[in-house]
Formats: sequence, structure tokens, C-alpha cells
Amino acid sequence: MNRKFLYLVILIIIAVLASYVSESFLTRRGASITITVPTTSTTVYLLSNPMQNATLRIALSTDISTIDIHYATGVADFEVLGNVYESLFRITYNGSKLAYIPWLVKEFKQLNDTAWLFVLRNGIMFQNGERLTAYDVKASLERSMRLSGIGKQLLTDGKGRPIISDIVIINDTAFIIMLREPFTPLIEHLAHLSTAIMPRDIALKYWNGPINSTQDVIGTGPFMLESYEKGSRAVLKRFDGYWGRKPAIQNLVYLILPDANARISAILSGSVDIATGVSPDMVNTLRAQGIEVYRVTGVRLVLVAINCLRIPDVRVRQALNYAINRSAIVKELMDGYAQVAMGIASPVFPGAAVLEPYNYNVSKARELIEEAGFAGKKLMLLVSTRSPKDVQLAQVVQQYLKAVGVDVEIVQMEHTAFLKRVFIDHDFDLAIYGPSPSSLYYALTYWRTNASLNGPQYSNPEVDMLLDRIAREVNESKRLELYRDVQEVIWRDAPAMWLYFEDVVVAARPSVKGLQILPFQKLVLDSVYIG
Amino acid sequence: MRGLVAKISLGIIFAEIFLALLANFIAPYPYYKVDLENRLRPPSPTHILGTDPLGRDVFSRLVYALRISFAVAILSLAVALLIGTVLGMVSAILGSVTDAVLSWIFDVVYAMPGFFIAIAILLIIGSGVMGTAAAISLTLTPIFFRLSRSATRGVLVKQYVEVAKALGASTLRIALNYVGRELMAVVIPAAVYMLSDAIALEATLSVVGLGVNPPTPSLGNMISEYKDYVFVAPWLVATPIAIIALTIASLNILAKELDKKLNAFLEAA
Amino acid sequence: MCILGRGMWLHILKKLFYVLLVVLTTTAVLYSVARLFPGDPITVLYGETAPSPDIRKLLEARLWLDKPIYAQLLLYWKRLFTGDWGVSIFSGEPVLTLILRRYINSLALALATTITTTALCVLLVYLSTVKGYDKIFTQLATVSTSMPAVLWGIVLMLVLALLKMPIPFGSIVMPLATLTIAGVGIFYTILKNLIEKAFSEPFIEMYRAVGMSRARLFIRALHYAMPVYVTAVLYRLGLIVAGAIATETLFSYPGMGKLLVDAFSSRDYPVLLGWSAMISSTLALLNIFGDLLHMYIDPRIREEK
Repeated sequence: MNRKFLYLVILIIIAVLASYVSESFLTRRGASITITVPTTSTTVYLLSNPMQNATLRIALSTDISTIDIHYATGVADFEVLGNVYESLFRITYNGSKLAYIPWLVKEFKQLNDTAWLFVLRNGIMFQNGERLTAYDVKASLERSMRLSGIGKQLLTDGKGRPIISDIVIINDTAFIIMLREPFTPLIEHLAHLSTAIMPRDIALKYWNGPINSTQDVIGTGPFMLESYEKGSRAVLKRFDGYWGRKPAIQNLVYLILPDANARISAILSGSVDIATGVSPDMVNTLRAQGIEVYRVTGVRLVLVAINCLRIPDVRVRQALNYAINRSAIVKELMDGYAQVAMGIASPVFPGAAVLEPYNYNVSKARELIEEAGFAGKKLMLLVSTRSPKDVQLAQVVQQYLKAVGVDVEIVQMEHTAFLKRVFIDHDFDLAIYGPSPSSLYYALTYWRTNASLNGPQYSNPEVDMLLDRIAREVNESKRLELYRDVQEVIWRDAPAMWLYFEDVVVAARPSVKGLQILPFQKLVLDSVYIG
Repeated sequence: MRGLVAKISLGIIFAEIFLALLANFIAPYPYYKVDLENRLRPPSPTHILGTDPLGRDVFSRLVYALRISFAVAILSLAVALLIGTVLGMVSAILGSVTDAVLSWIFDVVYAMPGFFIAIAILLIIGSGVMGTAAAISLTLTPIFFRLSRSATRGVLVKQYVEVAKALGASTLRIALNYVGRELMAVVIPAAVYMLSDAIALEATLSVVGLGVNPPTPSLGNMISEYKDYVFVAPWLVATPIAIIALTIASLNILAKELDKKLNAFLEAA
Repeated sequence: MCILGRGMWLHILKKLFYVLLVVLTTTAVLYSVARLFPGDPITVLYGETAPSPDIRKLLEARLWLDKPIYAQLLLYWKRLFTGDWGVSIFSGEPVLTLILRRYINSLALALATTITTTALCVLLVYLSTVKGYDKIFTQLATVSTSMPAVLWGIVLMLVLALLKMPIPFGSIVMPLATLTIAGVGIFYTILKNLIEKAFSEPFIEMYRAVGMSRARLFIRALHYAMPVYVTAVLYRLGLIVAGAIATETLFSYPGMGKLLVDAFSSRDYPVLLGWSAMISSTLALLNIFGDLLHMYIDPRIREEK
């Protein structure tokens, strides 16, 4: 008996030791192959895809929180529902910059400063067999402005008034959008899925609340929502009446696997074809096993918001920015799969300015903190438990701030509680999160006084005024100048510690061809086929 | 032979307590010291158990984690034991309304899923060591309550208590003499079994993110953080798992031994 | 031998009343905690953005969030008894059907686990007592109890992941395997003790004297030990239905545990209320059933009544 127990103990010890020595067998530093993301040009969609009965399975890292596109806020929501719904315009990526192209709209023309004429394409069908008309567009846009949090942000001016004063219908396919004042980002904002078009009946049926029945999830997109089991999967089927290039894929299955290992092992074993939310640490392991890894510069700016009402001294906020070694974080923690923040908006946005960097400068940080009398203060750093990488980042930030004399206590919170604390109660000193805007203007509206996304409660009338001017400025070069100015002001005022832009990293099995990725973590499945 | 297994278990526990108490002196590095350039290193002479995803020394973290896990477990167990046992005894002795109300309260607590207890505590006390200990206490208290209540009732109906009452002994005296002895025989072995449960509970809470706050290490949150790196650094997650398994197994073995010894002692008495 | 006499029915009735009390209290506490926890369904819907005040008012009225907590609780209780459990705020599915579906899944998991664990235990105890492989199995039992179920789940997942085998998320297989491995130890010990106690009973001696084989002796002992074993197992069954939360979440198994976590993180109050009503009544009823069974088995306690 003695012996048998001893054998057991030895077995356990061997198992543990085995894990220690197995490191060398697991990762082979393979040659670094970067997949360049092919361009999406507007004419490509006219070519047809090889039709297949294939099923594409995709692993997501978070659950979708709603089936109503106007209430979509998370990456998963847009990813799944973005196959079902479409907007008047579409965001595309050519490998370095984003572009906004007409999509449901055939042509458009600016009639004057405050009126835009749009003509819809012919023959676009909804998934319930109805034809798309201007009435549907009007109802959808009005619903979006009324109910959608993001829709409202996109289509309101600095004072919170809707910028669209009326939508005048000319005939079934033509309509005019009348604006209260000139609004230059209109086209970009009409490309956001939060302004997606749904049938008028459904928009009216759910005029006061979110859609809560899968039967009413009807859009113009290439896939239909067949079923949704909360917390586990969403199944979509190809819409054969789709107006554009019919996808080669017949069935789309999104599996919700919050556990990182689950996603990795799922793609390694072939249970899924594509895995999103891949950690940079896994890239080598995946490549060594023959999985392809795609990367794209992202729009997500990871930052540490600094509560401007509690820390009103800009010197302190700038000091906090100087205290962080961003390049070390990007190089080591993110394995190079991020871009050090050189501005407030990701380089993929046209008009994003590259500003004077906050170089890692411990002595300067200390100096500023001493000057402001802030040495030895204790701050609370909030982080949501939803993203383990953010929690790790919090601990790194804590270390850096300690080195300049600021004591930070980390409090991790459940995600919804975090949202409430930061965006509604504004009860925090520091908080880590990462907004993912769809356009430059939208990225800047976060910093308007009293904007709902303005966690730190930053307020600078100059910024508000500049944003208003940008919206009205029709001359493009002048507008770009103004964009640069406003970014500079916000950058210097430092309502946040600007850290880095996270790359989008997606893994796909080699049999998946034609995959494209957008910088806001959205897969483009137009040309995907299994081959 | 039995003796050897028990001795090994005792040795393991003693070693862990030793490490836990002297963590400050034994740990070669601070448990929170981030070193981004040395992430995920395998064991080496400078880092006996390697480094974690933030470059921190795993051995140092482990030693502190032992301290935290033991501290939380012992603290919560002590509180649960005291409150549960006393209330159970009181409830059984006083009977009627008090008993009904207390039983009702504890039945409700018992029926609540551990997840919710943790959430409720999170609300009231906040996260961190105190909150985690409170949550574990609350989960374990009903068990002690039930145990001591039924043990007390068992004693109270025995003949010799009737005799003592007839002879005029006060309630308090009865409580302390007869009930106390019986309670100790029942509660103490249960407590030792519960210690391993407390450690397991702390691990479970940390794994789902309801435990201590970072950067404080605990066996549970080390597992939760390191399991995502199993493909690049499997040794990271293997260590805390092995430690927890050894700890809980040893505690269970010791509990059984103590149970046997205690029974033998009581038979003799 | 009718044990269900008059006194018995009164006793059961009293117990049922008590169950009701516990259910009401538990739902009240659960609901209050959920409501008091920061964040509400509107925050979940809107995320970092916010609705305009009039839209917020509309939504709040629809979701009863404009009333104080106790008022909402009373309203929900009323609906609970009329059978109208409302709809899930997010998926629109009637709460009753949603919960029944999940409940059946959890029940299936609990029953399956009990069957596999018991089957395994019977085999192991047989080998141990009849064939004498005692020591090794005791050690295995120790290993089994050395980790809580969630850690066994993680170990299982890690092992499969490292072997690059597909992990069937959403299927009953993984939670079943995890709970069986985690539970074997305890039940092995219980069953073994019971069988050993049974072996020391006089009737076994009698059979042995008559020359019955060890195997058949074992089966007799098993019959004898079953009722007490079932009682011990019964409560554990309830615990799995209500409490395999971490395991279900780990493997995305659509049971009650996962429902709780999902409903809580999306603050789906109608679902949370229905959940707590269902689970607390299950546990309380199991408790009573266990008590009755215990009484039925143990004649001494019955005499006391």
C-alpha cells in the first residue's frame, strides 16, 4: 500500500515536471508570415462566388447582448448582426485607411449646405420578401435617432439636438435628408451599423423598446438569423434573395466561447474555422500548428481615463502620461501586436493626426507631480473583469505609477457594474477601457462636454466649439486643419493616459479563403469560401 | 502504513504554513514586481518556478498566495465556526420562536447559490480579502449551525440532562457541561474537514473572478490567470493546481485521522 | 404498514408551508441583491452610451424599474402564483419556458452524474470489498476529493486542449465527466462505509454461514445500504441542479447554473426571479423528501413522532 501511494505521488510529480520541460516541444519559432489584408474595392462585389453548401463556424469571445441592431454596442453584436443588416453606406478598408462607400444607396448628391439627396438601388429585398423603400429608410433612421445610444451620438449636434430635421420622401427609392445645420460627417455616420435599415413595420412595432423576437430580426444583408441561444450560439443562413454578391457560405455558426483556451483548442482541433479574440501570445503557437493568423491595425484605443473633476490639474494628468513606457508595453505585453498611441484616433482614420508623443520620462513625470503637489496621493483604478488583458494592463500601470510616487489600488468590477460606475456615476479616479469608434468625428465626440461616452467628464469649450466648426466646415483642407487642432487640444489636456491601439488578431484554418478583416474587429465574409 | 500517509500530509501542511508565515523572508522577489522583459520564462536559477505573463516571479507569488489562501480559509472558518456553533446551540436550547426564526434564516442562506452569496457580499463589503473571507464564512455558517443544533438537541433529550434539570442545574450549566463536550466532538472534526472546503471555495471564487483583487495572488486567481497560457507555458498553471490538490488532499487525510483519534478518545472517556 | 396516517399529513402540510416561506424569502433576498447591485438592464442595453431621459423613462416604466424594490417584488410574487412569469428582457422568451428548458437540462445532468457516479462507485466498492483492492481506491478517492469541481473542469479542458482534441462545448459530456470525477471520491467513501456496516449486520453472518458467495453477499449488502445511500445522494442531486454554476459556465452547458450567471450579468430580473423561485423550491422540497425518506428508513425516529 505504501508503494501504491508512493507511485501515485511520483506520478503527480512527474506530471508536474513534464509540464515544465514540455515548453520546448510546444512552440517552434516559425518564420513570421504576415497575411496582408486584400483590398475591398466596390467593383469586386459584382463578381460571383463559388456557391457552396459549406458551414463556416466562428468562435467569438463575448456574447451578443441584443438581437436589435439599433441597440448593438459590443463587438460581438456588430459581428453577428452585421451579417443580417446593412446601412446606407459601408465602411471598407484598403490596408491603410478606412473608406466610406455607398452601399444601399446607388447615388447621392448634396443639394445645398443642409440638404442631401439619396437614391436607393433597385431591387433590394428584405429577408421577409418585402422590397426596400425610402419609407423603410426614414423609419429606421428615425428609430435609430430615437432609441439607439450610438445612433444618437452619431446623429446629434453638440447641444444634443438631432442634426436631421426631416427626411423627405420623394418616391419609393429617393429621399432627401434635411439637416438643421451643415453636418460634414453625415456620410461616414450613415455607414455605421447603428443606423442600419430595417422594415418600416418592424421599426414601428418596436418604436419604444428593443426587438426581442428572432422572427423580427429582418435586414437586407446576405444572411438571415435562424436561431439564437443566449450565451452559446447564433446560427445564420444564407439569404438567397440578397441583392449583392451571394456569399459562398450557406450556414454561419457563431459559437460563444469566452474562455481563451476554448477558442484556441477549438480552432486547433477543427471545431471552428475562424477564431476571434486571439491573444498575441498565442500567435506563434498557432502558426506552428499551421493555423493562419491575420492582423490588422485596430481602431480600439486602450486608455486609462482620468477623472477630470477629481484630478483637475492638467500637469498631473500629463505626468501620468509621461510615467508610462508605452513601447515596452506594446513590445512585450502585446508582443508587438499594437501601435503606440501617437494621437487620439487610430491611424486608419483619414484625418487622424500624429501628435507629439508623451515619451517615457520618469523624471519629468515626477517633477510635474511634485510641482502640482500630488506626490504620495492614492488613486483607485477601476477595471472590468470582462477582458483579462485589461486586468493585466492595470497591474502594469500600477507599477509604472508607483515609480513616480503615485499609489494605485486596483479594483476589478463586473462589467455592467463597471459601466455604471464609470459612465453614469463617474465615480472613479482612473479607469481602463477602450472605445472603438467608427469614424474620426465620432472618436472625437467622446470628448465633448457632457457626452455620454465622456467617462472622465472632460470639458473644454474650445473642443466643443472646434467640433461644431468641423461639422459645418465644407472646405476639406480647412476641415482637416481644424481636425488637427482639436486633436492637439485634447491630446495636451490629457483627460486620459493614451496607451496604444490594439491590433485586431484573428486566426483561421488554412481551408478558409478570401477572409478580410476590418479594423473594428469585424470579419468581412463577402468573399469567403472553404477551399 | 496509515501512519506514513498521515505523516506525509502533516508534513505538507506544515511546510505550507511555514512558507506562508515566512513569505516575506522567503520570497526572493516582491510578488507584484512587473518585469515586462522577462515574461513567461521557464524555470531557471534566477526564477525557480519561472516567470508569469507579467514577468513576476512565480515562486514568490506562490508563497504569498499560500499565505492569502490559508489566511482567508482559516479566518472564514473561524468566524463560521464561532457564529454557527453558538447560534445553533442557542437555537436548540431556547427553542420555539428563536429556534424557528434562526432555522428559517439559515435555511434561506443555505438555499442561496454560492454565486449569489458572493455577489451580495461584494455589494456590502466590496471585493478583496475581507470580502472573500466574508463570503466563504456565510457559505459555511449554516453547516455549523445545523450541526451544532442537532447535536445540542440530541444531548438535551438524553436522560441525564433531565436528571440534572430536576436537580436544579441552571440552563447555562447544562449548556457548558454536557452540550459543550458533545459539540466539540462533533464540530471540531467537521471544522477540519471544512478547512479544505474553505480553501476549495476560495479557489472557486477566484477562478470566476470574485476573489481577491489583483495584484494580490491567491491559488485560485493564479490558476485563473495562468490557464490561458497553457499552450505557451504549461508549467505556470500546473504549479498552483498541484499545490491546491496536495493541500486539500492532505487536509482531508488529516481530518480523517483527527476524527479517528477523537472518536477513540471519546470512547475511552 | 401505512405510515401516512393523519399526523403524517399534518406534518407534511406544515413542512410545505415552511417551504413556501423559504421560497418567498429567498426570492426576496435574491431579487433585492440583484437590484441593489450597480447597473440595470438599461445600462446593459446601452453600454457606454446612454438613452435620452424620455426614452429611459419609457423603458423604466416597461420594466417596472420606476417602482421601489418592495413594490416590484410584490408585483412579481403575484405574477409568480398566477403562472405568469413574464418574459426575458433580452430574448423575449417567456421565462417559464426558458427556465423549464434549462431546468430539465440541469436535471438531466444531475441524474446522469448520479447514475455514472453510483455505477462507478458500486464497481469500485465491489472490487474493494470483495476482491480486496481497497488501498488503491481509497487513494483514488482522495485524489478525487482533492479539487473542487471547477478545477477538475479546468484540468480536463487543459488536458483535452493540449492533446488538440475537440472539446464539445454545450454538450452534457464535459460537465458530466467533470462532476463524476469530482464526486466519485465522496460517494465511494459513503458507499464503502455503508457496505462495511452492512457486512457487520447479523443477517450477513447468517448468509455466510449458509455458504453464499461473496459476490451475492455484496448484492444483499447493497440492497440493505441503498436507502441510506439514496438519502445521502438526494441532497447532492439538488446541489448539482442549483449549483454546478462554475462547471456549466466553463463548458457552456445550457443549464440552470449558466442561466443564473447570464441572467445576472444582463440584469434580466424576471428571469432571476423565476430562477430563484424554481431553485429554492426544489432544494426545500428535496430537503423535505429527504427528511421523510429518512423517517421511513429509520424506525426509531418514526417511533419518536
